[in-house]
Amino acid sequence: MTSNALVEIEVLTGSGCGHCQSALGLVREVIEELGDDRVHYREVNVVAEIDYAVSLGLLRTPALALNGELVFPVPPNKAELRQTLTEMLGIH
Amino acid sequence: MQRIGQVVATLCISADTLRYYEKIGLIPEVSRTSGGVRLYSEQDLSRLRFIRRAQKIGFCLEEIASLLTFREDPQNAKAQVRQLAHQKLTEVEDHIAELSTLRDELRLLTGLCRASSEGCPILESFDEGNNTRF
Repeated sequence: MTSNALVEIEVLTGSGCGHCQSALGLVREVIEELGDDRVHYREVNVVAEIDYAVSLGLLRTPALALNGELVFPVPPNKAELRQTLTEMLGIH
Repeated sequence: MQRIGQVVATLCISADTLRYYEKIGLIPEVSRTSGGVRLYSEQDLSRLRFIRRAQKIGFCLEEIASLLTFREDPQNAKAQVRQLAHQKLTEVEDHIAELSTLRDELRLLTGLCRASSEGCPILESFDEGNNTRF
């Protein structure tokens, strides 16, 4: 059973952040595996969008926000992200 | 009771300023020793601390005088003074909100700086054209 929910993943990154590219890679990988066009992602450069980052309560990068909420203040592993997304999308 | 020299040292207000506050009635006439040396009571010190805090936030002496009246007798303060106190309360709350955002921003930037292997995001944020906060 699925719902019509959309999920926007925001990967919060900063320059010189060693793990940010890995976090982006992880997100791309999970989206590809899910093969669900209801999931989108964008990279948010924290310095360029600092007001938004502060409003999320961000303290460090990388981190993931889902639909405008800081769900993963530290990057999840693949299984955790996948599970969270499937729950949000209503995939059982 | 504290002598003027002690108050100067504790509150970082000059002796001239303390005498001026008394002259214009911002604090009531301070008691004196038999030799004429000013002695400040705990209540005087409390008023002086309030004056200092209010000045730091940017209130003028006239406003502070009204706020002190309100502070002395909040129940019977005149409508005008109550209104000023309310208006200043709003200003203080706005000020706190601004400071809180600034604190969160600096917290984030210092966190990024610590974790960054190349360059410092704090410096980058100075260069951001659309960032006018700094």
